[in-house]
Order: sequence, then structure tokens, then C-alpha cells
Amino acid sequence: MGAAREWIVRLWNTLRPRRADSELEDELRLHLELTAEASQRRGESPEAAARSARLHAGSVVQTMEAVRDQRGLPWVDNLGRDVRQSVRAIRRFPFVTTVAVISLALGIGANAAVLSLINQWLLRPLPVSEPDGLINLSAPGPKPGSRSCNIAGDCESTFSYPMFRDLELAAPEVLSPIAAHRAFDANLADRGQTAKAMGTLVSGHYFAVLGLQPAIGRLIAPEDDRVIDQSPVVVLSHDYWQSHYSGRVDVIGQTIGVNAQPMTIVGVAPRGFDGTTLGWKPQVFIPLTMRWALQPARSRDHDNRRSYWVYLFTRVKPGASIEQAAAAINVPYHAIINEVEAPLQRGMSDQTLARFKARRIQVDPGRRGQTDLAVGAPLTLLFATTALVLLIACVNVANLLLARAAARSTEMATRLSIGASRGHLISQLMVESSILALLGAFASIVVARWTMSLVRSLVPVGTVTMPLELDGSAFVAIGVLAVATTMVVGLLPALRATRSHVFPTLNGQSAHAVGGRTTARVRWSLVTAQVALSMVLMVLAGLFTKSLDNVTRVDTGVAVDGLVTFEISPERNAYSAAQTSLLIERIEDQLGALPGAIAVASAQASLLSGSGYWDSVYVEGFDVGPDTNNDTNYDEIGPEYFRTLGIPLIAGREFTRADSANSASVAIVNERFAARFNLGRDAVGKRMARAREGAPLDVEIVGVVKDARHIDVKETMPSMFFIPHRQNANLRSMTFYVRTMVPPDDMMAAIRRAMFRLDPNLPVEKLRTVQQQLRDETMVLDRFMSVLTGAFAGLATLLAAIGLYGVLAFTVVQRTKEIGLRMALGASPGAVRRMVLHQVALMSLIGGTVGAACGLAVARAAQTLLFGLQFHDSRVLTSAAIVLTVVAFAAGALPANRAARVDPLRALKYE
Amino acid sequence: MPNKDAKTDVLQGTLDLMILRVLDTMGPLHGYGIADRLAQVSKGAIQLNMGTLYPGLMRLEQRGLLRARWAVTDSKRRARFYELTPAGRKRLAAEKAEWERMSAIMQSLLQE
Repeated sequence: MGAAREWIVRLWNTLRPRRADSELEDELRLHLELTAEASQRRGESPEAAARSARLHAGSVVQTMEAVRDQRGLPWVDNLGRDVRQSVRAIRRFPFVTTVAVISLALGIGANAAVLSLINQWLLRPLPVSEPDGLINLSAPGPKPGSRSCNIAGDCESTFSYPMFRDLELAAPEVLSPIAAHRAFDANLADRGQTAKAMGTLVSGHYFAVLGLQPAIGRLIAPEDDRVIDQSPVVVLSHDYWQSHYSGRVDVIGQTIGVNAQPMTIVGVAPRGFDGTTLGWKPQVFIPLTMRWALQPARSRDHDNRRSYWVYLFTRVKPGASIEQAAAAINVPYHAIINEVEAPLQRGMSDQTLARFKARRIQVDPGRRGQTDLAVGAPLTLLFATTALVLLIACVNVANLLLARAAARSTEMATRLSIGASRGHLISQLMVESSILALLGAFASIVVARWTMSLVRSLVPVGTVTMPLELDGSAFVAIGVLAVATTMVVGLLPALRATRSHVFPTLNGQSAHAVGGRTTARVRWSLVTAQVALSMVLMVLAGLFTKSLDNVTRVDTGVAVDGLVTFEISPERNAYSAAQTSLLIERIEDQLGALPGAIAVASAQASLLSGSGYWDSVYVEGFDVGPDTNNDTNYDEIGPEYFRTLGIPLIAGREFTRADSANSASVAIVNERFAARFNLGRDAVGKRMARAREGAPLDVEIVGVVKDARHIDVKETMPSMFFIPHRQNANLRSMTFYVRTMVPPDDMMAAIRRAMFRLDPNLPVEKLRTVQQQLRDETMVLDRFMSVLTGAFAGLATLLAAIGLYGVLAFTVVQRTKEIGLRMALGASPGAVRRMVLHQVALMSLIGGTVGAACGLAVARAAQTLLFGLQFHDSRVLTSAAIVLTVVAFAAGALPANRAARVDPLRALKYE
Repeated sequence: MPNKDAKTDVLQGTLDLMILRVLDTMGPLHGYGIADRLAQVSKGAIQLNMGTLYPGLMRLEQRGLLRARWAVTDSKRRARFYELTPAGRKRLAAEKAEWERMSAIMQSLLQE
């Protein structure tokens, strides 16, 4: 108690303005006087009494010093003095300070940004109660039938709706009830305004299993999830509630249109909860039983055990292990698979049937929810990149501080010789380092913001919504690391500077005394290490740049220039099938009449967006046995599709408006399809069928087109067939293409106006050029990696160049006398310049070689992210080496020239 | 933090006890009075210089064991008088008991 009180008082005394020293002085003087008077009373003379009083009682000044030490916190006072001195010292070396602060800011900022991403995308658990208990279920194994998967996981993870309900009923003892969810595209009609949004369909136990409580109202409960089509209720996300309803409590009970279905708002999800899927941030949560009401054109597959689409997760009860959970859930699963589902399978070989019957549910930890986004590898690599930047930055700081310490050795020696303690000098140098580190840490906030906005510009908005916030904890982690590093690297020169031998230094031999050979060697090793690290970064950046270049050079087979596209989803705005057909026809007419429109086409799937449709086909002359893979891509298209996209027609004809629901079924196939299904040279006129085995081959092939990539630029050319969308009664959404001869921006504005005239309430989605679409959908990762590694490598190399320049310049100054001597003995300026550049060359060679070796090791890990090149691409390596050499010699040129201009006479008088 | 070697730390505890005891028996005293009284009692063996005494007084004050106020001495001079607080009195009792216990132990040990 007493001790704590003492420290509080002392802290207070330190902080508040000085308590009157004069009072203390009065007190002490009185003490002295009284002592002297006592001596006088013993018969001493006044002078002798005063002397003996001082002798016995001590001096006022010293006592005051001692009392001051006790009164306040002397080290805080000292710190203040150190800080003032440090600030003066730092300002004396503006180059060192600026470069050190910028280096640290870049290193810390870039790392904090990338670490924020890692935290949000890879590490952070769901904001639910006890996320560690959550487990994801997936159902690998043969799955004949229709499979549909999305951002929440691959198609191996999905279950059929009847299977989900069976498992939900059979929920074993050790598990919470099974919860199900599925993302859907929503059009939200909010007070007359329709806008595209993200939605998640959830089962009745979804929120309960996560252990969430509503912000207001209630969450979706089991009674909302009993009867198909019967629970038009919606729970809003906290963000949507705040942004669209200003957080008003009276939203409960209001009606909102979701895909043109009026639904009652019953509650708001807790703050910070955005579903369980990374990249999918729903604004609304709706009972799973409403899936078919929200998407009327979708087949009503709630009884179909061969239609796989729903994602499942649950929670292990406390005390049970994940293995127990897996064993428990597989008991009912095994029974259902064998007794109910196996008999339903047709056309399966015995072998496949055996595999089908042996299927087991796989159980995985679910603390971070579900995601199919493979962000781990790119982020790890990116983090490695920024870690290298930080390393280079720290080396820069260390080197600069070393050079500065050398330049200040005279100052240190002087201060030591006039009585400053070594500890005090070291503590002052440490204060200087920490001031640098703190300045760097503050500046890093700006760098982190830049980095994050660069990242934002590379992650397209729309298809996914990734969390892209700067994370305070990441900052703290990196900040602490950097400050600690600076302190450590600051300590080394501090020790060195204060160890210098006082006398020789004061004798004016500082040029030799500054650490001598060892220090120089340390400096050169550090610079060489920087060169090596830069080389690693440049190899990586080069590989990703080349990879992106390869992606952009892929010949898609589509003439993408001057092609504008957009999508509509009439189904979500209560269009009936007949109305949708009519709308598409009117859009085609209106767009075709726009000034500058050369051709107009429509299709179901969005071109080169990474998603497509699959179906099994039966083709004339092609035998389908058990287990034969007869799955192929297809699309449903309108007239003029191939002319609009610039895909050449090889044989037969395009579809026309006459190919409608009332006319004969027709198809167009691509070359690869013709080759794969043995159609031979005369494909036109042959017949095929879709989906059902044994059905009559009722579709006539009327055309063959050249191969083109429709789905993804990186995948191999797909086999495809096309059918007229007019022969499909259930069109859910439609993509349009307009080939334009006017600037795309004008065309897009014209399209917007035309669409508004047709239906002001129908959102026009993803209106952009196909070029843009390619960038946004299929090159995201490539651009992400190449731009970020390129930026970091550029910065790092710049830092290394500055470091190199700094050290060279310093060395030249240090060696002025020696250089002068050489020149006096007949060395030409050219020889001196060569001497300096020789050192640069040596460093580039060593650093470059080591860096290239390390770079290759890192690049090997990046191979899966590279497209169309090997990690040891020789052109990339060569380019990196050339850039490195050019930069190194550019940085070395200035100091080398200065060395060559040294005047021998002046140099020998130097110091 | 100011450096203090182990010897002064041992002394510090004793010094505190001595100051507290003097103020307990004599009532409020100024700094010189305390030093004078200690010299008297110890027959000159303990001569506190100001550099030891005043930081000690400051510390005890900071810990709430003493309080100080300015007053006028018998010889009509302004001086700072120190007196025990209730906490100081309690501490003195505790320290005294502890000291007696320790010295009894030491005594029996040394006379063995």
C-alpha cells in the first residue's frame, strides 16, 4: 500500500510543475544554521562552525539533488533530456532520418496491411459463441445427378435437400442439430427501389447452432422452416439495417420485397455477423423452405435426392471429439445411403455402386465457417513478400545507424572523456532509435492505408464481398516487431560507438578509428544482403507479371474488343416465364436499334466469368456405357450469338427467332464437341439428346462453330453445345452482348437509358465491357499478385538502392584521404571510379546470385499460382538480374563520380 | 531508478524505524531536531547528514507515514515540522515488534 502510494506521489511530482525547490532549500539552510549554532555553542568560531556544519550535515546542493531523486521519478526527467538531445541529433542527420523513417514506414505499413488480410481471410474465427465447437460436413464420393456449388465450398461439400432433412431428424446425441445454408442472389425492393443484394437461405437451426442472439426482434427459428413456400419472413443483417433503415426499431413487422416476394421483417442479426461464408456478405437471411418461392423458375427439387446443393454444418457438444462426431453422423448417413439412395441409382457400374455405398460424411473444423476461395497460398506468398520488404527496411535502418554511429564516434569519444557514463550514452542512442521507430510506425499507418486501397482496387466488387479493413491487432503486432527490431539494430551501433577508443579518435584519426575493418565488412555484408533480398522480390514480381501477361494473351476465340455486356434477372422481379421471353425479345430489338450497335446477342451464361452450365448428353453414334463421362458444358443462346461474339461458324447455321418453343429442337456444337463425341466431318444433321438415358435423340445439330473459351481463360478448351434459349420455358436470368462501334462508355449509357425505359425497376447488373469482365472475373488473382508483388519489389529495390547509395557515399567520404593519396601517387580519376564501381559489381554479383537462388526456392512454392510458365523461367531471371545491375550501378554512379573528383591536395589536408 | 547498494537498503529500514520512533516519543520535530535527537540518544554514534535524512523524510511522507507542515520554532524561526500519521504509528508498532523479534533471535544465536 505504502509503496504504491509512494510511486503515485512520485509520478505526480514528476508530472506537475516543480514544487517550490526554494521551500526545500529553506528547510536545508535552517538545518545547516542550527547545526552551526550548536557548534558555536560548543565554543567554535562562526567560520569553523559553518565549516564543520557543512562537513557533518553535507551540502545543500547535493542534498537537494538526492531529495529530487526521491521526490520524482529521475529517469523520467532523464528521459525528457534524452529525448530533447535525440531530437537534436536526429535533425543533424536528415538523410539518415528520412530514409530510416521511410524504410520503416514501408516495411511496417505493407506488413500490417497484408497481415490484416491474413487475419480477416484466414485466421479470424466466426464472430459467434465458441466457434471452436463448429464442424463442417461434406459428402465426397460419386454423385450422379445435378450438382451445384458456390463460394461456400466445392461440389463435394453439397448435400441434397431430402438428405439434409433426414440427417436433421436423425441428429445424434453428441451433436447439436444440423444446420443448412445456401447463398442466393437477391433483388431487394426497398420502398419502391429495387437493388441487387446478397442473401442466404438458412435452416431453422442455423442461428441456434451458431449460438447467436438477435440485435432486435427474433432470428429464424425451426418453426419458420417446416413447410415449403410457407414462411415469408426475413432477418436483416446488422449492416443493412443500419444503412437502409438507420437502425430504427420499428422495422420489425414491416414488409420488404425479396425477389418480388413480400416478406415480413422479424428481426436483425447481431452486429458483425455476416453469415458463415468468406466472400459472401448477405443483407438478408431467409428460411431455406422459401428457396423455390424466391426462384420460381428453378426446378422444385426439394424431393430430389440426386440434386445436390445445400451446405451443412453443426456443433460438437462439449466433451465430444471430432472423431466421435464423425462416427455418430455416419451411422444414419450410411443407413440412408444404402437403404434409400442406392436403389435410386441407374446406369452405375457395380464398382461405382460399391463406392457410392461406401460414401462417408467428412467432418472438418468449422470455426472459420465455409469457403471455397483458395486465398491461403496467394496471401502467404504475399506475406513472404512484405516480410522481405520489412527485412530490407530493417537492414537499411541498421546500416544507416551504423554509418551515423561511425560519423559520430568523435562526438561519443568527447562525451565519454568529459565524464558521461557509457550507460547514459547507450540509453540516449536507444532513445534516438526508438524515436526513429515511432516516427516510422506512425508513417506506416499512411502506407498501410495506401496498400489497402491498392488491394481494394484489385478486388472487384460484386461477385464477392471480401472484408478489406485494416486490422488494429495486425498493426500492433507488426509495430511492436519493427520497434523492437529498430531497438536491437540501434543497440549494435550504440555499443560500437561508445566502445571506440577515446584517445586515437580524439587525436583526429577518426577515419581509421570508426570501427575499422569489421564495421566496414558488416556494412558491406548488410548491403549485399539487401541486394539479395531485392533480387528475391524481383524474381517473384517478374514471375507474376509474366504470368498475368500470359493470361491476358490467351486467345479466347472471342473478339473481346468493342463488346459490352450486362445481365438482368427478371425472375427476381416477378416476371412470369412468358413475360420474360417477351422482355428478352424487346431488349434485343431496342439494343439493336441503338446508334452504334453492330450486333446484339443474348445467352444464359456470362462469358468468361468462371461459371457455366453442365449436362450429360447422348449423341448419335456415341456409346454411353456405365461410368462413361458424357458430361459437357452447354449454354442457351439467342440468335446472332456467334456473329456478335466474333466466333466463326464452320458449318450449318446460327439460331434464328424461328427456333422457338414451337419449332423442332436444335443445337449448335463446337469443334471439340464434334471430335469428342465422334461426330466426324458431317456433324450437321446428326442428332443428340440431353440428360435422360434412353430418351429419343430428339435434338438436331444444325451448326458447328470454332472452339472458343466461354467459361475460363485458364482452363483447357471446353467441349460445348448450344441450344436456343427460346426453347427453354424457365429462363431465370439473361446476359446480353452488344458489339459497338461507338465508345463503350457511350454505349453503356445508352443501354442504361434503354433499359430504364423498358422497366425502371429491373436492375441492370454487371454492365461493363467484356475486357473489364475478363479483368474482374478471371484475372483477379493474377492481377492481385502481379500488381502487389510488383509494387513491393519496386519499393524494396528503391530502398536497397538508397541503402547502397548511402553506404557508398559514406565510404567515399571516409576514404577521402586514402583516395587522395592514391591520386597523388598517380591513380587516374577513371581508376578511382573503377575502384568504387568494382565494389558495386562484386556486391551485385554475390547478392544477385544468392538472391536468385533464394528467389527460385520461394518461386517453387508459387508454381501453382503461375499460368503458362515455369518458376525457373530464364527470361524472368535474366530481366531481374539486369534490372538489379542497372539499379545498383545507378546508385553507385554518384559516389563513384564524387570519388573521382577528389582533389589530392585538399584530401591530404583533410581533417 | 537511482542506484542504491544493498547496504543502504538495510540501513534504510533502520533509518525509517529510527525516525518514526523519535517522532513518536518527541512529538512534532523539524529535520535538525530529529538528527539532533538521534545523535543525542546514540551518544554521537549516529550522525545523519542531510543527504540521508531528507530523502528518508520525503519517502516516509510519500508513503503516508508522516505529514509535514510549516510552523515557527521556539527561537521564532520558520521550520518544517514532521509528525506521525495514524498509519505511521501503526507501522512503527509493527516494525518495532519485528525488530524486537529479530534482535531476540540474533541475541540467542550469538549467545549460544
